[in-house]
Amino acid sequence: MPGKKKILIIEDDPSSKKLQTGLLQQAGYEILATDSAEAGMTLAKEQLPDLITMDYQLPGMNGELALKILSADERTKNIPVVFVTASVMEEEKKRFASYHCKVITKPINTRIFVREIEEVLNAPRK
Amino acid sequence: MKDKKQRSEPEIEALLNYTNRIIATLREPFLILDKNLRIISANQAFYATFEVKEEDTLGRLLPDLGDRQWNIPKLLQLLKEILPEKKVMKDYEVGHKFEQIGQRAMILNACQLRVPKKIAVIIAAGVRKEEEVEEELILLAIEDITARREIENGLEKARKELAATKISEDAAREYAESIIDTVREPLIALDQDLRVVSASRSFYDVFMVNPTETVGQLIYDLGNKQWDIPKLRELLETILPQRATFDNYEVEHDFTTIGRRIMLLNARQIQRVLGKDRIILLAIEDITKRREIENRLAMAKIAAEAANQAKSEFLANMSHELRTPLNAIIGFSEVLYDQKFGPLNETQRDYLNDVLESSKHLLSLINEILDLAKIESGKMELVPSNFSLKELLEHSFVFIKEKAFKHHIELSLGIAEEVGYIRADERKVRQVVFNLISNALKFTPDGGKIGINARIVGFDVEVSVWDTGIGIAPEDQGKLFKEFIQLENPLTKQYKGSGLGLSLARKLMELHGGKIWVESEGKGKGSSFKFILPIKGEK
Repeated sequence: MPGKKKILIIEDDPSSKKLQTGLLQQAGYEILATDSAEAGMTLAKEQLPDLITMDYQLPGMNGELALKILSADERTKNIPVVFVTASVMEEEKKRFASYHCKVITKPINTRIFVREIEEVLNAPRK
Repeated sequence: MKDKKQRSEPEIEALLNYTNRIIATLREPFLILDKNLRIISANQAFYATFEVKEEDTLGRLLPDLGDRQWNIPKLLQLLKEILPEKKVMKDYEVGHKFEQIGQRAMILNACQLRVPKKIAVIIAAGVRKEEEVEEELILLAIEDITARREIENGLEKARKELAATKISEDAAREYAESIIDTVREPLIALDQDLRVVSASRSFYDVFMVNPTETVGQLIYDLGNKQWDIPKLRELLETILPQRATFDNYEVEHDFTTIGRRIMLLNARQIQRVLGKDRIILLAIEDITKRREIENRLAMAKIAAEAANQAKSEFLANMSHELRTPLNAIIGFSEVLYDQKFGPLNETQRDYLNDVLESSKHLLSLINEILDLAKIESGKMELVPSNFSLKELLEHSFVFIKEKAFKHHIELSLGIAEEVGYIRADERKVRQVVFNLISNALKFTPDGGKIGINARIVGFDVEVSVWDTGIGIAPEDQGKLFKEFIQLENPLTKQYKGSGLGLSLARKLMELHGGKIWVESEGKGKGSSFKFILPIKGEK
């Protein structure tokens, strides 16, 4: 399928990465996956995915820094980012809200996960 | 006398006239009486002072004067005495209460005088007939000293009062001194030269000095110049002369005898009662111990805050760490159960369902513990919004519909018409309602009934989640909302729950300014969990 959309998954927990990959692959997306934030940034610039899901808290890089790196590059600045996080503390939730990014809390609901991602993919671009 | 004899009658008359003038001018009442005490002459001052008229006076006998007001026995007796004796009555004081003018104090001066008939006739002219005129006359000067006496009495009174004041001043001083000696705060009084006038007992106790080496000394010289404290000098020599008072001035000083002390100084410059000099009253509060306690408290508080912070961080981390593996457990069992990646047989699906349910239960336990911890550390914040409680309640059965159907449990909704929008944290209200419904389901046998009722009570909305289940004994009803307390459930041993659900519900309701309670008539009679919430947000 030439029209296959590309999703980049940046997740350091192997099981979570595997679960997301499985769900999205099955839904027909091309998946790029890495457990390193740095590698993720490089992949984003090289492959220009249609969407990035990433754990907010990654070794060496948090979501905030990743967003800065992505928005600094003309080619990646419009790629939508979905944070998948196990954090549920109120102060962190408030912080997420300020990024205008979709946040999915772990454990993910596999029955609606693909739909949640597609809503972001199909949302009108800025 | 010789001269008088040579004078002609008109000359005598002129002289008498002159004398009369003098008498008339005198401010002192003056009477001339004959030997029968008949008034021959009186001056204006007499009439004015004793408020009598001339026509009622002249020719009258003194005792009859003014309706016998002048019938003063002592006076009459004295006057009678001096007549034959040719005595002089000098500065005789007599007090008398006149009907018209009240109590008067008078000083009387009188003398007896014999004049030639010729002169007596002239003096008595118009008062006595010539043949009645007596040659013996009495001159009576009456000084009204009532006002002076009053002043004197006033003075005396004032003098006595002054003496009394002196006594009460002494008493006041004694009183003040006993207070000074009683208070535990060391007090010291200094004169203008900063020498010690007196010091309280506590001063001697606290600073371990004795009166003999203290009183009269310059404050700085006390206890081997231990009191030569630069800051104290500044206070006494610079600040006090400008302000007359200072409060709570903290001074720290290392005394050789008693070690390092932190003192709070309060001073007043006060005027002494008598005399113009001022004294300085210096109160010295030893706050060394208090400061130590305060410091220790502050340290303890910092430690407690750090511990609390550590606890919060630990909980956040724990929650994060526990959720990550649960993500895989729940996620993979869910996709397998849903057969997204291929078919399973019934047994596999059944087992997988148990994995899924257990892991979801584990997740809810983690969430409850985390929520409770958040409330306890004050980190639980309400996110209030306006939402329809009616809709929330109506949709709440969705989650248990399937199970209720399986167990033939009837669901009933009774929401009053007027229940509509409220202001509260929607997610947390839903959490409470869901908790109550799940409990109801757990504790209601097959074929029973579960319901939600809601109504408005004053400014609150009251929600009741009821069931026809096993009920709760009265003695157990109070325990329900406490942490980690669970009652025995004979219906199912499968999911015991954390024992946190209701205590969390209680805390969430309290956070909203509402409350939650249970009503049950006893075992086997069902129960009704009720909560009330303010409609317009927290009260």
